[in-house]
Amino acid sequence: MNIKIVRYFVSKLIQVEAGLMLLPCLISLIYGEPFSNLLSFLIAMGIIFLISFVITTKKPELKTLHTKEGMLIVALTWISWTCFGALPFVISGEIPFYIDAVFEMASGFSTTGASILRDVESLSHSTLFWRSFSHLIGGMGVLVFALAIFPTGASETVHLMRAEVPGPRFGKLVSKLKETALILYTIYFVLTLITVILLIFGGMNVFDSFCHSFGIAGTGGFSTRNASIGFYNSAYIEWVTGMMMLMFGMNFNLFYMVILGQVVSVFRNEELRVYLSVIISATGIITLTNHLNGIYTDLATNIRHTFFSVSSVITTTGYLTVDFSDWALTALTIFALLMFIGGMAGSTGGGFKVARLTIAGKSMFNEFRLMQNPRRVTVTKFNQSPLTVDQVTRIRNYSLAYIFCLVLIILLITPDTPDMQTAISAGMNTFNNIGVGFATDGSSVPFTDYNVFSKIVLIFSMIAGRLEIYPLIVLLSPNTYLSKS
Amino acid sequence: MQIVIGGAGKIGQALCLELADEGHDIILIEKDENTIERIIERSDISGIAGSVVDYDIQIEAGVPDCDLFISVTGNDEINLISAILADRLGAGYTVARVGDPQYGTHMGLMRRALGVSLMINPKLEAAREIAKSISSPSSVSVESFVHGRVNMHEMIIDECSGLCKLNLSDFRKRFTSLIVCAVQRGQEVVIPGGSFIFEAGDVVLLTGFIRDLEQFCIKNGIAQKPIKDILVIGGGEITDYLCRILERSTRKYKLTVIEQDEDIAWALAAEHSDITVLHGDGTDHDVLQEINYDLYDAIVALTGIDEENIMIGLLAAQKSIRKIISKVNRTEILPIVQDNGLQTIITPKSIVTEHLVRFVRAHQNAMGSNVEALHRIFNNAAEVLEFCVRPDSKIIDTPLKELNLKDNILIVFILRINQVIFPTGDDVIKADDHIVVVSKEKMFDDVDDILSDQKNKPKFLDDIADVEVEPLRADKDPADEY
Repeated sequence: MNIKIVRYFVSKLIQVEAGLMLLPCLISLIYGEPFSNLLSFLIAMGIIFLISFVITTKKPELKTLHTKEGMLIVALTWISWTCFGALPFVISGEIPFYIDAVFEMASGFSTTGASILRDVESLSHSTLFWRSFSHLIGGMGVLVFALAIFPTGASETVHLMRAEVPGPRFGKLVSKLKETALILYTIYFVLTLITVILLIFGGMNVFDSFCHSFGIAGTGGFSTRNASIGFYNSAYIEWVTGMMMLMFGMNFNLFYMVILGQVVSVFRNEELRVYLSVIISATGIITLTNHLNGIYTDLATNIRHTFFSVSSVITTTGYLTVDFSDWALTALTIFALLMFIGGMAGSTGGGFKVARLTIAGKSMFNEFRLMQNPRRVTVTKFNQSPLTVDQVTRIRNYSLAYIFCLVLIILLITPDTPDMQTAISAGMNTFNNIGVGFATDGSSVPFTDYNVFSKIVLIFSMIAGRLEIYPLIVLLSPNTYLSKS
Repeated sequence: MQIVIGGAGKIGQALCLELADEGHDIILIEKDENTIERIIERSDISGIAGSVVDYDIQIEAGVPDCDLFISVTGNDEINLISAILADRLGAGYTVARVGDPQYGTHMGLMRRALGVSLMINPKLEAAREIAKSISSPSSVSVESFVHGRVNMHEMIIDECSGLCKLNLSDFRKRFTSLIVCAVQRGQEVVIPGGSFIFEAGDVVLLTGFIRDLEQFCIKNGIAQKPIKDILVIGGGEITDYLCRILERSTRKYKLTVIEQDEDIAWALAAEHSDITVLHGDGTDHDVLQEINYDLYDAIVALTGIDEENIMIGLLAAQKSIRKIISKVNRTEILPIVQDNGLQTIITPKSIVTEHLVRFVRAHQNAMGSNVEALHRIFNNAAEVLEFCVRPDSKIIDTPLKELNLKDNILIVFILRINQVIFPTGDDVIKADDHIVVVSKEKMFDDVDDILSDQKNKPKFLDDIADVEVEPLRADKDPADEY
């Protein structure tokens, strides 16, 4: 265990966060906010730098970095970014309680979009921007971002990226890690910019366009409006948002392949096919149930709201246009299933990931075949290439870890919830990084009323969901810190 | 022709014997002197002991002046490198035996890039042979001509068939579109005339359009429905090729493969998702019973051991499996199974030898002879030859009935641009036609060789109507695509 390198990386990475805080400072100046807002960010930056110097300043001699250290760095960085990112809210007094601020930040970085705020419209521009901006950073990953902008020579940093990029398999686009990170971030930013422009065309004001685009890009879901996207009541904005959410729920490697001109292989991608067919069938079924239950008389409106909700849930974004808690139970159950599925591997979406589900499903069918003929040799294939037994086992084990964690989270918050549905909904929404919930009293429930313990559990739930469990387990496992003695 | 052969393995030896018999000058390069000695004793060739990739040895063997260089050692790389070397030294044509499936997938590219005229893969050829035989289950063996558009089927006449005791003239009246090319009775092969009478146990070589052949089979109760469920025992390379060929075929097959080695089984299952791969001993009766092997339409035995393959074939024969194909590597044990007619025997070595002899003939064409393709039938007792008729040939523009052909020769069909003609006595061969001829005599080099010197009654099918005119059905040979 090379603790020095961990300290070094964490210290460097929180400085990056301090650097990023310059952006909300700029926003504060642009919108002529009271000086106290600007000051709150500057104080936070000061604190971060101070702490980073306390942790370490020296670059360690020994630069070896293994999977364990990588996991630890990722987990610690995410937790510290969340804790420090919450400081300006508290200093400016816009979110008076620190734990609430941390919850808001964890929700931001993990791209959950669950909020403790009942009224977001009263917040200042700089706070709203910082909140939404955290989606943009968290979506692609803070370390991937750091790798993209920092001159790092160490080849070991691949462990960092592996620990942070969502999905069962991590593949580099080009042979150099830094270039891979740069390509990913370029695609990410360009797509985000396209979203901004499309939203501005839809009549959204520039500031809101940016904030919502960040939410879409990171598949987060923080809005600048209490009524979320529904505030605008514009079919154009909803379709743009819906489509762009789907784009960000796709594996970014696919966009790179499109740029390279390999369009055919993109459409041959098995995960994409599953992803799209799930979306199409879910939209179809829910539209039908809505129609049969007479929720919408007009088919166009029906499809518009259904598609938006499906897109928002499967990509784990969590934007809302309508309150779907009064939709049929079938529809709600499908939404719950979509929450589990989540986006594609290598996207900014959360959840279990389409790739894992596909592989686990295929492996299950192979098991059925084995029942019929025990001598049969079965091979689980994904994207036309066979998976080794180890790879399949890893995915099965992840499914188990996923279920255990989810059940544990739900169990821990039950003392604080009125009923089963609320507890499950809260657990799934945070763990899958969605951020909407259907509970007894409406679908978008702010998490304001939970007690401190539940909030801490949910904070962990969000980060664990975003980092796909293992980094946090490494962080919390005592074995990690055992030295040779 | 001046031919240099590298490597005296199974194929090399067979080639030496065959090609020397046809009067070519053969120089054999082989590492083992004893082997050379043994072959020289049996055939009229000369040998050089040494490595085939050795520059000096190649010079000594006269590679720069040879017409054909064939490298058939057991090692792909040696074959390729020696062929490239021979090509650069100035050999007319170069042939390399390449068995690795990794090279095998892009043979065209490899061939062009390396300057090797022909790359031949025994296992792939064997797989093609098996696929062909599976696609026409009622015949014992199938030869395809004109890129698989015309097939020759070998069939056995059994006692209860309506054909028994039928004479050939009546046969022609009943099946106007089919041609009997040759008949094997016991050890003797005849090219039948009008008075020939079929007997039970005759092996008949038939040709005609595939559709007509299928109808013929159905009418005579020879064919049942096409083969669908296939059980392959042994999951080696041939199986891999076979799966690929059958996967691409237009007809859909259901394949089950039993393989003993877990890794090989896994790799096969990973490569081909549509086939069922079982891990187990395919020679174990319990394993076979567990999967109800008697319900399969065809059983293909491709294990590494000849005897096991034959045994599996015999077992399958007991269960009246419709099509049984066994791979036998060693030609020495062939006579044991050849005669019972229950199973089709595939011998990769013979297939490759046959291909290479055909290749040699084809290239002799450029130097005077004009044999385009050559098939050996009935265990080499007769030959089917495809000729290209040149404008200066003596046989053109004469009605067939006026042609004076040698004994035991039959003009089976004429291929003219895009049509196949099963000729009558009034048909005329034109320049640039391709004709296919069945002959008991071997070693024709030119189409004019079929003409007799004496005044004999010509042999052709004078009472068969011209079946032709419609453009040929593209009855795709799956093997062609691979």
